[in-house]
Formats: sequence, structure tokens, C-alpha cells
Amino acid sequence: MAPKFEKATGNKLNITWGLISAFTKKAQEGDVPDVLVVSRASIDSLTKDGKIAAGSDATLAKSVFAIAVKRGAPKPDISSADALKTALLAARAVGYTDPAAGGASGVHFAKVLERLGIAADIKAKSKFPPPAGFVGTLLISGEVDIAIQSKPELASTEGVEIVGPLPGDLGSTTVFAAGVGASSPNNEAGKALVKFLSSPEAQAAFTAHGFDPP
Amino acid sequence: MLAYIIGGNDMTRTVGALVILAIGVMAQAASGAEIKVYSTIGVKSAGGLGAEI
Repeated sequence: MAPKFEKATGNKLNITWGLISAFTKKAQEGDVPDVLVVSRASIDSLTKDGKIAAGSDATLAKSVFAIAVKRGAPKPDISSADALKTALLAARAVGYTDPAAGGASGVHFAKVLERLGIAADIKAKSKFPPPAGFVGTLLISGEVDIAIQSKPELASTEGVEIVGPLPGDLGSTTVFAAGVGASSPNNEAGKALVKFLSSPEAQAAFTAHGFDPP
Repeated sequence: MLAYIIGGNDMTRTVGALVILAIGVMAQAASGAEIKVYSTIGVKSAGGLGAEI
């Protein structure tokens, strides 16, 4: 999508990717980009603090934390909390993002393990990808046989099959939104980018990569 | 243009100033600005598009 936007507007995008928590902290400390794409909760909080221009925001997409296996492998039953517990205990190794690194999926899954009462059992056979890495790669390499991460991230690795979202109230949905920096010198160009990201064309791209419509 | 505006009457000055203003606005709109973006979603590698949250 970036090249299309650049070609249509003549503007150039200088994009840095990272964690919601890291970007939110940067913005709170004064490092606010022209356009910030994080969670809806962070955009709302930063707008309230005057870091994001009021009225410049748009909701883009949402995603759930899901469970995946390597394509062709048996799909575990994850239809209930008890079924998920059984599947995780039966797994040879379990992959998710390192909670200590701050990624939301890892932090959430660690809480799920606590709720299921199997945190110690799973910790002993946990594998983490490098920071900002994809857990699906651990499935492909054979290091784990069950993986948990946000659905778009899991879907981005070829050869990974999504089993489904975390069941019931163990699940979590993240809503993504974009906003323009309140002090941005490229205010109009930033608004144009947010509008572009909200367009049907962009929405189709999000959906094609595992996101759900907002 | 600038000399024309300075040397002209009120009407030509006003029209000239508006023309310069319009050119300035157009230039800004298609400015080729570099937009700094921090994103938690998007293409992170040659392999894919994901949401690192």
C-alpha cells in the first residue's frame, strides 16, 4: 500500500515498525511522528494528552489472538478452556512472544496460562521468537507444535494454519487506529495517509492479511 | 510577478498576492513531504504483513 500512496500523493513514507507499548511510551515522552498507528486505546489516550490531533484519528482494523499449527498437522481441540488446557499440556513445545519483551500477545497469553493453572508446566517447554519476530517460524522449523500470536502475524508465515481464536473469555481483541501528531509539520499529508488507510482498498488489504474489519 | 505586484495598483496587488498564495498552497499540497510514521502494523519484512503488538 505504501508505494501506491507515495505515487498518488508525491509524498514519501518513512516508516518504523514496532510494539504498541514502545510507540505509546515514545509519544508520551514527546517523540510523536506525523502519523501513529497503534491501538485504539493508545490513540485515545494520546489524544487526551494532546499528543495526537483531536479529530485526526480513524479506526483501521482489529485482530484476535489465535492458535496455529503447521499446515497438515492435526488440529487440537481448543473449543473450550479445558480443551485448550489439555492441548497445551499435550504439546511437545509451545511458541509465543516473550512476555518480558512487552508484546501484547505474550503478555496476554502468560495471563491465560496463569488462569488455566498451567503456567509452570508450559514455561518449561516455551519457545520465544526474536523480538518482533513471528512465532509461526517456530512452527515451520519444528521447534514448537502449537503457536499463539495475533492472527495476522500467524497468517503472515507461509505454511502456518490458523486453528482458531483463544476460546471464550480467554480471548482478546485488539483494535488498531491511526492518528496525526498534534504538532506535525506535515499535518495535511498525515491526514491524507490516515484517510488512505481507511479506504476500501486498504481495508481489503488488511482483511487479506488476517485482520478483521473494524 | 513580485515587481508587478509592488508596482501595481490595489487590484493587481491583490490578484497577484492571491496567485502567489495559490501557488504556495498547491506546492505545499504536492510537496513531496516525508511523512514519519510509527506503525505497529504493516510490512515488516520481505515475507509478510503482520501486526506486532
